[in-house]
Amino acid sequence: MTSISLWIILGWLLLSTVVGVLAGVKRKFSMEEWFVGQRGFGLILFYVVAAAEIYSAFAFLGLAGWAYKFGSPIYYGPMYNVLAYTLFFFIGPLIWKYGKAHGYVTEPDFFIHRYQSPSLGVVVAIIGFLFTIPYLQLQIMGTGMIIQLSSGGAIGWQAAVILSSLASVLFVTISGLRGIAWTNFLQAILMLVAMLSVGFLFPQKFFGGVGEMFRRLSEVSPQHLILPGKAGTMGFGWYTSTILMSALGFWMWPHLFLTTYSAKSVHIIRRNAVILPLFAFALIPVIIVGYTCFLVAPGLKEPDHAMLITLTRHFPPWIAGIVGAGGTAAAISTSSALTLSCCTLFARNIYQKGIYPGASDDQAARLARFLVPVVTLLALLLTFLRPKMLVALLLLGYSGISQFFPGVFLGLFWRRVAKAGVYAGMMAGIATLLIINYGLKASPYGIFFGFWGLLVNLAICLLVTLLSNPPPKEALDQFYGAK
Amino acid sequence: MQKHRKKIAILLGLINFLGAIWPVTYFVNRTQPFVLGFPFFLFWTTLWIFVCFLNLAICYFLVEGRGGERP
Repeated sequence: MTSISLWIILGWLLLSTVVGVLAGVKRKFSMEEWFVGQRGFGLILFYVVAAAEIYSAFAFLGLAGWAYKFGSPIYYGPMYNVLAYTLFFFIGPLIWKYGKAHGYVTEPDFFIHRYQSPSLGVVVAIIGFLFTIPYLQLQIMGTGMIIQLSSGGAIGWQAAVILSSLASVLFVTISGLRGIAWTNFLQAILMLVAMLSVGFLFPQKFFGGVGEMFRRLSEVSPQHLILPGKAGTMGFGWYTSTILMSALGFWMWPHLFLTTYSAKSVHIIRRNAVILPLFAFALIPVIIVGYTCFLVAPGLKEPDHAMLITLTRHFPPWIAGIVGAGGTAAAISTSSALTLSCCTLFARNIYQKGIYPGASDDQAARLARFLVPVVTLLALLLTFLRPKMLVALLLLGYSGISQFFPGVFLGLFWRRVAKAGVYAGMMAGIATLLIINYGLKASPYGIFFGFWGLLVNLAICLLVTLLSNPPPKEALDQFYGAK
Repeated sequence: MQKHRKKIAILLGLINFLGAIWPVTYFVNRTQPFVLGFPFFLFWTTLWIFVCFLNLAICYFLVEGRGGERP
């Protein structure tokens, strides 16, 4: 019975691999092609790459799990997404413009040039790499769980992650960002179908409609529907600070920076900033599913599995198969982009701009390509050896990546901001995170700890900048003079 | 004229942020009344996503539309 769902998922995996490989097989290999798709993506292609990279395994498992366990604090998810796109509308065109004019292919490239410091580039690349790995591992883990659960245990998560990693290694190695883009074209559609259909199916089947489900929930557990949520710990301070930090830090993820460069023009970027919020609507049905599961199957040990467990118990296997394939699509589309991003950071900024400055672009690109299986293997090993370690690291990851915000944002708009300020701010921000997370245990005033990091970072960055010498005028003129 | 339009766009962008955070959340953080079957806080969140989309669409026309930066 359940093998139907397994075959649907495996068939989908095969189809995406074939499409991904075909996308790049006839293209001439070069750094610009493999890293950023020749900066040639139009409206639709850019939209699907961005949307599928952004909505990860978390959008499937985590969102429903949070709604199940905590309730309304999870509204921060769709909300910060939309604010991140709002910010993107204003900074995306500038990131793209300088990237195109000065030939950047990664986020650290921007830091190197704006602040005239290859070492800052290496530091940003290392931090980016370290915080991306746990995020990648979480996607791999998510893929495994989704396939195992939605196939009703017909295949174990270990076998599932090896299969899916193999698929993504194939199309990323051969086609680079273009391969990810074309598979994401499929992934985005399936994700959307799966998310919208579960949101409709779940409340309909058990309660005859969304309104009735919410009426019941407001009687059984009204804390689920307002802040500070079921656990009682996530109040206004937490909600506001988490939203602000996530929205400001969001576009600092190295893989999204890289994706920004792939657009054909600033108009493509602005149009995408306008239409990306529409995808955020698809998160609402997943939250509704989490609520429904709480009423139907309360007391589950692993809330993240609530949606898939309820699905396999109460729905026909082909529906479980489609939703499982949708979840797999969400996870793989993100993990392949993260893998690519790790390889580019290492090859371009740690190797070519750091250890071995004599290397040509072509050599760096070849190294990046060679690293795809290596990075994947590393993430797989960590997944098998330390599956639990990750969640803690992931919380740090989002907060850690946000520490790039002052360097990028101020660097785009303010001539005065100097290298020493960015360096000092970033270090102070990360130190704050580590102290609160490992030293204090509880964050002061219930404010999200990453937000404290960002505040300290901004303050130190401004202070040190004003105390240090202004950056040389010629370098700034050359940077800002880009047409 | 160009500058003026850009300022309005930035203002709209800031409005997007304001609707999502405290103190606005303080006033919408409630179960009742239900709107279209949604409890009020969820309804507000959904509505605000839509408002953000509309604001961004207006921003787009301000920046790139007639009188703005033409492609």
